Amino acid sequence: MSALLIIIPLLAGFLFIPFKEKAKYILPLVVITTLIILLLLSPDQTNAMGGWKAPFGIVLVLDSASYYSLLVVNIVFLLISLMPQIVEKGYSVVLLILLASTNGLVLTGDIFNSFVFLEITAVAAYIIAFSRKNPYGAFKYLILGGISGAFYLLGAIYAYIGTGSLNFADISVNIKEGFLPIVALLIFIGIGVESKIFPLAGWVPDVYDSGSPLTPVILGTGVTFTIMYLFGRIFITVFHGYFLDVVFIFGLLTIVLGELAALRQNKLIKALAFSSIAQAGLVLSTISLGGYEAIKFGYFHLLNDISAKLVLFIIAATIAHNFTENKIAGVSFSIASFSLIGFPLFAGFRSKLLILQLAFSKDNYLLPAVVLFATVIEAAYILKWNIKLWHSTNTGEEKQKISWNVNLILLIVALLIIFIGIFPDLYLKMAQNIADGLTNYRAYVTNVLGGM
Amino acid sequence: MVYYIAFILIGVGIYGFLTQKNLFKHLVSLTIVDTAVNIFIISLGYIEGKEAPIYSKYTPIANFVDPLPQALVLTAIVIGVGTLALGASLLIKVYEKYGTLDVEQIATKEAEE
Amino acid sequence: MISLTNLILVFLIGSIVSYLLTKANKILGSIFNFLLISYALYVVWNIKVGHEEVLFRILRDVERTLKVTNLGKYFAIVSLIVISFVAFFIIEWIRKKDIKPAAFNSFLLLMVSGILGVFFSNDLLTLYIFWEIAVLGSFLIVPMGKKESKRAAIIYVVTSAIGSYMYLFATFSIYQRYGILSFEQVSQYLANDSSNLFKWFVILFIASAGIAKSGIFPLHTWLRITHGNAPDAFSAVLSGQLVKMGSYVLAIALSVFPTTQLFSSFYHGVPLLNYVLIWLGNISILIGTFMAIRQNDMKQLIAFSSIANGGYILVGLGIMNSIGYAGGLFHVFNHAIAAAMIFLSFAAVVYRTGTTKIDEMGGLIWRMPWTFVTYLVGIISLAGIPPTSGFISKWMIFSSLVSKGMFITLAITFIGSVGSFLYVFRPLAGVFLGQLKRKHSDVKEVPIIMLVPMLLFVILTILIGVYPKPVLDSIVSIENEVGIKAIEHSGTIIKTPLGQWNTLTVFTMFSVGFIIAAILYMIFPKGKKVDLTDQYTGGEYLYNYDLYHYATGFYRFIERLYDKHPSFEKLYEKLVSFFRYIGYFTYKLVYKTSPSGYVFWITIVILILFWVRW
Repeated sequence: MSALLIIIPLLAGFLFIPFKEKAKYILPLVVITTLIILLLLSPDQTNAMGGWKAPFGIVLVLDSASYYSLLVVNIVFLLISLMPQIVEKGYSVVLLILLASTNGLVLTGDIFNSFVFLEITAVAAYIIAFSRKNPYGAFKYLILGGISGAFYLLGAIYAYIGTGSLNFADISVNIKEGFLPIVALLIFIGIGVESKIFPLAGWVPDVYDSGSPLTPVILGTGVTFTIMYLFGRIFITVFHGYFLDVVFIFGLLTIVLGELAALRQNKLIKALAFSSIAQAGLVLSTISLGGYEAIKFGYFHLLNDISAKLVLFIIAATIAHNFTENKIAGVSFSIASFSLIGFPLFAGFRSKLLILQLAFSKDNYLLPAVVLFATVIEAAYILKWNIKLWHSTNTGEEKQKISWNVNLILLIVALLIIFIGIFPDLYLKMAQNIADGLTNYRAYVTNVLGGM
Repeated sequence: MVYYIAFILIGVGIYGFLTQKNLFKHLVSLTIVDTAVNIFIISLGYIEGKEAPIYSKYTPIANFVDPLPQALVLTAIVIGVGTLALGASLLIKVYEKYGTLDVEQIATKEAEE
Repeated sequence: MISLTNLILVFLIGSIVSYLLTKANKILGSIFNFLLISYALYVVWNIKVGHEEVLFRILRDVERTLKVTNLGKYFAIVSLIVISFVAFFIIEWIRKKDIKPAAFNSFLLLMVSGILGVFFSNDLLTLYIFWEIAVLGSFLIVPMGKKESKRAAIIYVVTSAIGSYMYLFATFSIYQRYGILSFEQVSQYLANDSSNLFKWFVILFIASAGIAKSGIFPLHTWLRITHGNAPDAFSAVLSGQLVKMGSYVLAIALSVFPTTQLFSSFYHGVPLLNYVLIWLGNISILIGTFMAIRQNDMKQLIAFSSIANGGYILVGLGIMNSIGYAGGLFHVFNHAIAAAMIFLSFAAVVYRTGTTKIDEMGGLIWRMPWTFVTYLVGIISLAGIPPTSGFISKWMIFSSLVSKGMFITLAITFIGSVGSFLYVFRPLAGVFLGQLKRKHSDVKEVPIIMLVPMLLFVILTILIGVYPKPVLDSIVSIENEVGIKAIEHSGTIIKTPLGQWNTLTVFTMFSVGFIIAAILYMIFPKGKKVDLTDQYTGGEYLYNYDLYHYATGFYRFIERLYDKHPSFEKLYEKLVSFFRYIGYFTYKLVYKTSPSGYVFWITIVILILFWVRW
């Protein structure tokens, strides 16, 4: 049943290649269908593809972690599909394929299969990065993605040598001690490129600045969430938290240098791209504090971040001059940026507070110091842009209007951010379920391999 | 023996990335790295003196090499080819936009914009 | 009576209502704002000390509560007096300004909701939350001012963030160590804590939020640009109220956590930590005074004076004996009222003339006499001359310094006092006295609605100067609350170690002196009134009269002494550009390279990890 989540968008994507222009009508329908299927499914089930039982065949695992991640990713796609204005001509087909591959990436319980989906996601991302004629950025992304894919494959193969199986559950139980470091290293390099870790993810600013709102929005929210889920699945469920100490250091570096690099940008979308990098670093280093709570708060912060980024990126890519003409968009933008900085009343405050408290309770004083320092810098440039856009005087040039449906959706997301800021239970519950699924690897193994 | 060739090839690919200034050569280097990984995977499954993993009445005893890596490599090759094709088409667009494939010249042209 | 929680909620919702009302009609919205803030003043005035309310939960096991303390109530009343008067002023002021009135009114209420919460929070985290709401509201208003205010807002919010994040860091350290956050429990635990280092760290970091907010050295640089460029009426709130939020946190850090009991005495009963803070106050007094003398922009001038007065408050609070602490608290009230008066009179001047440069004005006393009266009384109070209330607090601080034998600090505070005569005289002479410029010949006095709050301030400051009992009473109850020996007073007589002081006698003496001077002025022949253009320079024809206006280069002879002063603004600018440079370097090296660069970094990461692991 859960295979339908991959098949339907993939089939729809390929069927509509001849009618690329029509695909934008089918996109919302497909996303709604996958969402309905998802809601009909219940968590905790494993589907063996082609009848080959794990660990021999490919399994699709739907536990509480993947269930809620799918929910998030599909809702993001739904929101984007309801705003056809931001999707470039003919890119709906790419979005369908991206939806199929992200769903697959979340569902799969097989490391080679995850490599395949990762590559499909990456290829779709290259194409999206190319939108509005940004070939050089897309090409750089392709080279980096290709290399990282090769390393991910190498890691998968080493895992195969180490266990004799490609199944996540099997690897998590049976991997030989000596293979763990090399596998973790190679997979870290492989995922690091996509999850925007500091020295590996050079592609981000150039790709996000492709000129089309679609590129940063989908890559910064849906795809980022998927990759972060994959990161948690591999490093927590499969490796039981091995290697996270290294990730922690890289996460800290990402936070500080990402924010500092954003300071000098004179293009809003690039500054936001760096903010996205820094937030990813924060999420990664929170997760790598280790333990159930850390993972929960990390994903909670990720949810807040992608909600804010959804609003920020769309508005930043559509209106780059001022808000006086588009007040509603401006209000949404400001709310999202306050949440990003972490002013009280807004969602980001909740997650940052919880992260700080957690770090202190683990006697870790480095992360809070880094987070607070980074927040000062982030406040400086994000608020600078807010002021610039609200108080800018040049009303001339091209007047870009945001159509009503985009405005409405952004406003709803912005209000959701305030709602989460006051009653955070909705997001916290999601994050909790994801953390439950990721940390409870015994249940995962039993679920997949069946009573061992 | 084949392992070493694979790793040397990865080294060659990375050397290509680090030294070459032409974007097309970067794409070639990427292919070299991909191929190296593929060779590595095949070399894993190969066992001296075993036969091809085709089950028929002529091979009553299952005296096979590991078939899984070969299946994996087929998939990996397909993905590699897809990426290569996309990369090549992107390069055409890069050339249309900048009129060159040299990294430094593109950088100066980008700075001018 | 409405509960405090609901009052804060009313303000949060009120900010949206106010936006819609002001959109419909500017004046209606402003009246709504004024009524709401006065209502809050009424509620706070009548609220009982010790009243407690459960608010909400954020961290496990910690109840968020609001609790009314004497200290908080005192600060809240002072703040709300200032804000409600300013809100009344705004009713007229907002008509003419080309700011965004709806947003202005809405953010003002948002800010007030934060302020109310700050003064009634019973624990460190709640205080932080409301603090940030207040910062957010005020931050949103600042960029509506002059052209440079856009930059000012960023500097303001960054400085504030540095302070409040240090505060937050200390808060979480306390929570981690003791598992509690309410002020009472924290001070108990701190008293029993054996680690001196931890106590130092906690109190300094908590105080740093106050240092940033009240413009104490080394985080003083934001005041000049922010107060100088914010919308004119809002500068009054900034200097009269928001800065006092910083003093409140300083008061908490020094007295609610009893520093004199936590640390051993260093100098005549003053612990080393307080001594360090007093020295920060001293430096602020010096910087504020000397830089204020240099300013030609009247708002920036008073902004520097706010730095100096923040220093006075810190010195007073830092001494932590009965009379010094009372002096510090009294100075909070005085400076709030005086700064608000002065900024409102400036707002009135700008409202009519449209400039803040001192040498572009002159002789406005003939056109705006009531504004002049406000300014005059304001500066008298600021400079600490009887019979205004400003004198009382300065006197209390001086006498406590004398009794502690801190003569260097005493000398510095005297320099600050003398310097304040110099700098407040500059706008007095340049803006109000002297010759009226031709372009200002048809300037009129501001409308009555703007005059009312200004004159109410005048009455208030003289009234408290003559009869300081209400303020002294609340100070006594605060001192009882935090466990300092209360000052002795009886209505108009204040007893200090240096003898007692009867405000009524002083007032009578000064009134008599004033009357004698007025009579002398009447009797003696009047000077000839000279027009600005009525002069000649060696037979040359004058084209630019402004250059010959005597307010140009007013204190040039003093300024010359320290022309090459070290500037912290420049130092911080260098620091910022250093950070920007690192960012740029990262960007160029990691993000803006070719594919070769990317692959290079991947190789480096692999090599490093190999090297570290094996």
